[in-house]
Amino acid sequence: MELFDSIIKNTLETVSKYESKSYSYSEDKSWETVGRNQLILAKESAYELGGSFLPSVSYSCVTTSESLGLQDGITVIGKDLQEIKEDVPFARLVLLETYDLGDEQESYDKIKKLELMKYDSILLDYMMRASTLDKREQVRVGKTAVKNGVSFEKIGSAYIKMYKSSNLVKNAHIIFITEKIHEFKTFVLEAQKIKDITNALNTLVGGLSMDCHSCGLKSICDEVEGLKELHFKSKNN
Amino acid sequence: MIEKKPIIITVAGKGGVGKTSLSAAIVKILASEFADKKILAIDADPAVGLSTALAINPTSTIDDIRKAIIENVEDGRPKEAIEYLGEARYKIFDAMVETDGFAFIAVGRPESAGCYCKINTYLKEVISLVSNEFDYVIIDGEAGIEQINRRVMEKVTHLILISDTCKKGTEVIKTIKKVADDLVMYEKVGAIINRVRNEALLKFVNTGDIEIISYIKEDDNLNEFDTEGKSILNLPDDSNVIEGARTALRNMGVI
Repeated sequence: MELFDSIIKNTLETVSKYESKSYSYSEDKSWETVGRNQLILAKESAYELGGSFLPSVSYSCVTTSESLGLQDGITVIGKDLQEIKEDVPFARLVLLETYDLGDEQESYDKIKKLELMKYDSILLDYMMRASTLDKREQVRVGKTAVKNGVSFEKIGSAYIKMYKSSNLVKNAHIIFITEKIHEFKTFVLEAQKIKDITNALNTLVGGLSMDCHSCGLKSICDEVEGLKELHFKSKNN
Repeated sequence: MIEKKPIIITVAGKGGVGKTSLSAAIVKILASEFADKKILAIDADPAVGLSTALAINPTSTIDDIRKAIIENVEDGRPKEAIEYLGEARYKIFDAMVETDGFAFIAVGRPESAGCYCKINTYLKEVISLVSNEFDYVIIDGEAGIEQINRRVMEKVTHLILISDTCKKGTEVIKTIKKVADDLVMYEKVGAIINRVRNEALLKFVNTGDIEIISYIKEDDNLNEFDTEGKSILNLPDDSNVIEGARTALRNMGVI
């Protein structure tokens, strides 16, 4: 599964252009998770990541390629949670190196499973809400969380722990951005591309036209190396 | 973790008997009694009058969310339930207006043509899920309780039925209770007889098996506030409506 490799490379390249802090994954440092959704009202919130109509984006993409060198870890561009005093732009980008994901439909199912895991991990005093339609992720960080020392190292570790619990993920690299870098728009486009590629995987099983000229997925197949081959391979099996 | 159970109060009754004013009065009382609790006011009346009574200016409604999700459903491809729920949960917070004392959300107008039962179901599910995260939820309902059951909430804890002294009003609340009985959707029920102009007429008021939890005399203060478009939140505590609503809440064991 190397369909997302160019996106992963672009993401890493963008991140490398900015000053950042890096943390190793430590299960012991994981921020506490809770069993049910938590409501943090504005009056209880220290600030909102991606709030007040500020830029916000989130995506996750997978690869089975070890050559990309993904390692467990957390990268932070911009202020960390203890330093933020007001609403800031926010990106959470998740790069996952997985074990073999199987055939097209299996891959689709597992990618969706990993994508939707964010809804399962409910972090204490950290109210995340995400829109797949808008590709946004916003987080209200509770005053209590700030008081209790929340940090991206802890939040990132909790997410990595969650991804690894799936038994699908070898390495997880989580990137948090709280600074208004100009690539936000590019990230949104990448998020859309990830969605298109993932949906195309599902459609492979649904029975596509063999005529590329009349197929609605032509543009994404032309752009993503390997997708067209997967399509024809699937048809011929 | 102990499961938190919110007090969910629905106010229902015939049109024009003062449901919205009483809903707003209840919000005012709860916000003042329980400053540290989370309170949600839901305007489930398509007329969206509760927002005016509470001096709230909502920019979108649940119905707007429904429309946005429908417009963005991609070429009929089914989505995972969790995606619908996540999307609805995301957008519901955009539609929610928060004040110091309470949060507010409007349901909006009934759905237009077309069957989007699945999306409606998810939206109702999200309203329930979000409501469960509050301590007190007050729903200003349409005249018919079945609309609340279908569009807003399966179950409420306290059903407050409002009528004036007119027989039409009391017959409506008896019907509402009967429907609510069939839907098994409440724990406690009580009636408020509102806008009492002549106490001598009270002997003719028949609410059947519904206990009357408060009588409220015609409120000149409220009439003045309504005329001037002032928020009920600023109504003096000794106004008939506020005192009457307080009595009702006390009799139902809410305060």
